[in-house]
Amino acid sequence: MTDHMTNDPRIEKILKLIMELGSGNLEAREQVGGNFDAIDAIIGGLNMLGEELEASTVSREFLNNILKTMLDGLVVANTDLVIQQANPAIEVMLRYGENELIGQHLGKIFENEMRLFESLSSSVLDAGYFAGVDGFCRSSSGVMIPVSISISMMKGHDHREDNFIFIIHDMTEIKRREAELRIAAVTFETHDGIVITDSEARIIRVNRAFQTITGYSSEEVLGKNPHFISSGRHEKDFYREMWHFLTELGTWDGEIWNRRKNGEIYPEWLTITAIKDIEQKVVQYVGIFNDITARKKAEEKIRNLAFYDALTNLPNRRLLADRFRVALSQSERSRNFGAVMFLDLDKFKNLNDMMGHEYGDILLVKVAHRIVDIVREMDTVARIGGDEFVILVEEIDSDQNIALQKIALIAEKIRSALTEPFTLKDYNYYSTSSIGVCLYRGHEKSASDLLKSADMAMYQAKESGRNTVRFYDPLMQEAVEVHAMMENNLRNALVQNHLRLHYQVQVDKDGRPVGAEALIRWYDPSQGIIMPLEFIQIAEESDLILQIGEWVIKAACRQIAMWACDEKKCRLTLAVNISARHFGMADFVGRVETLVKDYQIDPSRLKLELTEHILINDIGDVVTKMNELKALGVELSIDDFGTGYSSLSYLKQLPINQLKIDQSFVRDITTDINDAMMVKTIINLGQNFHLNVIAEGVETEAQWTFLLENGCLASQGFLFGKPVPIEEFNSLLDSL
Amino acid sequence: MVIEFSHENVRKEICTRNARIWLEPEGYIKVVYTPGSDETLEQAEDNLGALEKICCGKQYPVLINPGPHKSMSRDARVYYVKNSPKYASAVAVLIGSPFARVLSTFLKSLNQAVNKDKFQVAFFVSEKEALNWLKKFID
Repeated sequence: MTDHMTNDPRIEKILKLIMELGSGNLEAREQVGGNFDAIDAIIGGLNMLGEELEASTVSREFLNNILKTMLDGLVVANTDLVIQQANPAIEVMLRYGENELIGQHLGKIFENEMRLFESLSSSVLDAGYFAGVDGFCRSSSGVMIPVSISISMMKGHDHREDNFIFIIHDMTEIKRREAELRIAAVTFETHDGIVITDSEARIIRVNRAFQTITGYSSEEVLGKNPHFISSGRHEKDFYREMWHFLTELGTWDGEIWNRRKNGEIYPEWLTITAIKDIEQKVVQYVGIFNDITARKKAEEKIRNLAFYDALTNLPNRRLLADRFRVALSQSERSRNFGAVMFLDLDKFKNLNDMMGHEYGDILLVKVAHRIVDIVREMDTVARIGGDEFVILVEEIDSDQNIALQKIALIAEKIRSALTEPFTLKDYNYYSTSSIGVCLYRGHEKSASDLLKSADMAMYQAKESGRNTVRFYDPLMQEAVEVHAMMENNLRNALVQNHLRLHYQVQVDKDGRPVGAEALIRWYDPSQGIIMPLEFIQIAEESDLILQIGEWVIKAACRQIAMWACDEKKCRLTLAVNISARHFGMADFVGRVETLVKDYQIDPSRLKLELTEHILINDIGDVVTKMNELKALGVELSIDDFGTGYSSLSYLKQLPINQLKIDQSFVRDITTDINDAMMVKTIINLGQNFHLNVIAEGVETEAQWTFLLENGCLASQGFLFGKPVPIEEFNSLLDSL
Repeated sequence: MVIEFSHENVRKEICTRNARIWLEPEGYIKVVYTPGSDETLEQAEDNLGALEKICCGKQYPVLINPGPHKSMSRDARVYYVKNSPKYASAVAVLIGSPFARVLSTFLKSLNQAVNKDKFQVAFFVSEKEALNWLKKFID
């Protein structure tokens, strides 16, 4: 190198400086001398050149760093759309290797956008840039990536050096968020009400469902605390607990009652979630709720179907059982007596048969209302089937006697209330009820046993003539058992011919026999003679009454036939009692006619005594049958007249021959002015309707005299003769 | 920086560390550098500060005679090119010395890059030609 050195040190400086700069040492500089000549100018110029090179290198590195570090993709393409430059961001975004894109046509990554670019190119050329075109880039694996593209023009020294610069922003995340926002927007406008509050519980947004459910518009609620729609149904503790959950767990859900704008209170299922920022500070609360009014109603309906009687809406047997369980436990703890009442409507079946089930249903509903109105809210009134109601009266008293008195009052109140007329549509109906009562305390008896006991007591009430309250006691059970045994024995009695007729004479005004009433007796081998009062009711409750009734008519006809051959007895009339059930048989008249014909008797010698109770049945049918019997020639008498449904209208309608004054009026005829007046009235009534009148139960001369004086020309009673077997009766007649 | 009022008609003139700057009665500003100046950014800032004071908010054509400079740093050159348009309506540079000729190419290139040729800078060998050119920028 030394050989090539010049002798001029200033030229050496220049050479050295050029070599330094040429070798890349851009910081190399040389001192400018003080000659101010061309050599100094060259040195100064080289120094400045070095500075410019250094500056441009720094600037290029700076730009390269920007390109490397920028998050958006950058692609530089020439006017032939061949990629000249691509930064690492676009390579990563599109899964290309380093510099892999350089030299590729732009269509490789903007396959679907080329037509768009062509249309934009003039704009880009004119304005120099075009910002914000949405499109897609194709990655190396073919995945289309949503991007936003800005294009600018970098002009070169001439057109051939012009370049397009593409800044490509990956929109995947933004699009995902937009999709999420769209989903959120759709979700927000769901059927559920949504309310969003700030951290101070001030409403900042509500959806349309909120407005629909509450009736408040968005404008009316913004800025308010949601508490303003609270119903007032919940205690402060309820809200305190809600906020406790929200604070501790960040969420709460439950049933809450709120108030609509129209004042209506409604139930909703509400879920509140606290929205927290990254520092776990609550920024918003989101409440999502749905109106569960319909669900509650459906639940209520299902509950009602399961536990309540559909007709009366009273608890059914199942709910009663549950109430019983609770009541007995409560009584066990308190040692207070409670009571079970078993209530059955008297002759409810007749109403159903007469008027149809529609009327029966109306009655049941009204009965339910009356009972409910009488008992306390804590008591249970249940309908357990048909016309059977059970009333569970809890916690009456710890003293049994006091409890008995109290429940007796309640039971009587119910019984009395049910005797008041019911308006069934356009029809006034009179009903009565039979009530059995049984006291309980604790678990001394099971619910099932208590019900049975009350049921038995109720039957006792029925047997006592209905419209009555009866208490259960142990003797009652025995009575029931006797009842069952009696029915069985009676059935055997019929088969074994242990029934007999006794005859009680009926006399005219002169005391001469004009007939007799046939009265049944049961000749039981072990018990002796059993009176009808002891077994007719049992027969009535079973089908035995039909067989017995048949037997009685047959026996009466046979006796009439026998009397027909006897000069002294052939004009006697024989009266038999006909039960309502027997009379109600469809072929009753036919059977009577058959017997009359079979025994070839004068039908006018047979008198059928019917009670007023038959009239409660189908009156049309009754009239038809009585007319048929009348046509047959059979005599008809109304028994026990004045004790039932005595009515002028049926006296006019029915083809009856005789009224029979009940012995209860006759008994005190001489001492009770009311009974005397009643008897007089019946006699007058009979006379006015041209009916015979006969009095039964005549035991004294005074009674007979009174009857004769008031125009009752026929009598029957112990004064003239007790009911006796036929042999005695015949002897009696023979002796007269 | 020294501010002198050298003429009876109150010619405003400022002497900086490496230049004298004054407003000529004809309406242009003349800048004459001290021979042998090694101009740094600091000095360039002083000089444009002086120019600002003389201009008093107006723009004047400026005639610069770099004289026998030794050097001018890149920072100083960039500073001049970027900030001169604030005070000067045009600049005429005398390139009488070899260094001035070399410097002029750098300034020209910088002006093109920075001011996109919007700022009028011209280089003259004779002061007369320079003044002739500047006249069209005098109000």
